[in-house]
Amino acid sequence: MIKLKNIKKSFVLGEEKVKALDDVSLEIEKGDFIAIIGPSGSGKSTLMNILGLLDVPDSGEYLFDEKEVSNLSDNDLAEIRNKKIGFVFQNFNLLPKMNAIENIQVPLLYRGMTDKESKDRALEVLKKVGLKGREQHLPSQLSGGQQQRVAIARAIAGNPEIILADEPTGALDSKTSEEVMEQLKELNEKGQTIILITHDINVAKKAKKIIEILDGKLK
Amino acid sequence: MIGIASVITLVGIGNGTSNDVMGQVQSLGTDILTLSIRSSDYTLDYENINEIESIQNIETAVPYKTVSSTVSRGNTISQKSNIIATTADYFETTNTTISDGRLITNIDIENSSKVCLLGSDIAQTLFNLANPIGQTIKLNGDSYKVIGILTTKGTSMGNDVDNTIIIPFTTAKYLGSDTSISNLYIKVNNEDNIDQTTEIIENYMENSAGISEDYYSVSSQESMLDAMNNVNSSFSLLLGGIASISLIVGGIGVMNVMLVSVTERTGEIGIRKSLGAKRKDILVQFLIEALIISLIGGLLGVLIGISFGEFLELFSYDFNPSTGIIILSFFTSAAIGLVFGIFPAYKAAKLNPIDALRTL
Repeated sequence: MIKLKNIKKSFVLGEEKVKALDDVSLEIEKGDFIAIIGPSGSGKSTLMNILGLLDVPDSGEYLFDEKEVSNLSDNDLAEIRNKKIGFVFQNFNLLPKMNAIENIQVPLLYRGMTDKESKDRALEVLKKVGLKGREQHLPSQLSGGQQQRVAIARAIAGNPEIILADEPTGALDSKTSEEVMEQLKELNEKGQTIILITHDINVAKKAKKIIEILDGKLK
Repeated sequence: MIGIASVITLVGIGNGTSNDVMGQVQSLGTDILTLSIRSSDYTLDYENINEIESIQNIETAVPYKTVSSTVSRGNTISQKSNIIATTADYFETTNTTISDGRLITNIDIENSSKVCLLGSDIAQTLFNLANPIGQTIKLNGDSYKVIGILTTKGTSMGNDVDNTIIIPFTTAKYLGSDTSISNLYIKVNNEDNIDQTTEIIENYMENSAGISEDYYSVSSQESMLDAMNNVNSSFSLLLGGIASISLIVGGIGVMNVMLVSVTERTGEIGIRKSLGAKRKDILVQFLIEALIISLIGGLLGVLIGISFGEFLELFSYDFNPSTGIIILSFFTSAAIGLVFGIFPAYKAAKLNPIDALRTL
């Protein structure tokens, strides 16, 4: 489903050129639950950004559904992000002035759903993540775990082919981390492809497969 | 907002004032010519008036003079009053009527009698509800007998008749004026003959009275209306200038607010882009915001403008806001919002998602 081949990406930090990704090749199949684990500065966030089409590699091939993405336009990339990828971020990235339902509706509205359709769908997924009754709550009125579950609901609302979770438990205590990981695991058991990025081996262990990254290279 | 407010107020006042002046000019009648001699070296005498009156199509010609004086009775002082010194024919010529008492007679003129007719507002100010006929008022401290009251014409009508005092032409000499004739109202029998008669009078002035056209003017109410309209249109131009400057300033304000908003919300833009917002989606979002800001500004401007105009009405300005201007202001606000919102919105739309997300 996703195929990375010889991906390279480097940044200039002051005088120094840092190789964030050095010749990374990776293949992800439908139904995978892969944890990419590495310490900070290992390049795992860069990898996540490239996988999520938020950033472009300097060189290498990236095939998404057998389509090379390097020559797609901004709008095409936005459309793929909207329909095929669901993001779960470390700091949730919910829009602070919108309530839970409205936050989940955002990506659905961008794909052209009506307000009614998107609201129905948002209610459905909110129920799925166990937050029924919190529809009208603003992110600031929800606990960290609840916010992350809203974010997961937002990610799965559009039936994406893949969920990219970047340190989804990084801002949560161990108990809620457990709950969030259970949630992801459950989704995977129903066939959802998930890529998890973390520095925490205990979190990574929930995945079916662990890939280590260090200094921009996969092990 | 301030731009819109000042435009609404100024245009409203402008409209009000010009309606007022138009009303005054028109109420004098379009069949009246005004002859004014601009040089103090030349004057007319009663012989000239008789000759002018004998010209074909001319019904009456009446000399008049405006004088200034304090107007009082006892301790009561009337502040705003026009004093017109004139002859008996004035009333017929200018369609001025009286509601009580008598008109000025030729005997009053011959004797330079200290008599006067009062406009209804002045009569009320000085006498309240008492009957002024036969009473006296003081002009520059001298006693004048009230012989008549002018018919109320309302504030917007001719020469502000209600605040006018009429005295015999020759009596003007007691109020620091001479009795030379340099202004005439001339009544023409039919307004279609105005232009033709104007030429005849000009002819008479140059050939018989020997006054060159550099020193006098004959104007019809129509030509005064034209002049008024000219003044009005330059006034409108001036307003337009003020308006466009303030609108540009307002537009820059909108742009500034939007640029700040885009900077503050870079993170939000990043989130939206990661969720699949296209450039167009972000552009539209920020344009709508700019539009809302400027429309709220426009609406406030209209409200402030109207209330300020109404407030000025308390100080006897005429305020007449036109619906056209209000609607135009609204559309202008919208246009300003769009034009000045495009740059910030475009800036937001082309943000790179990963850079935008990093600001969180």
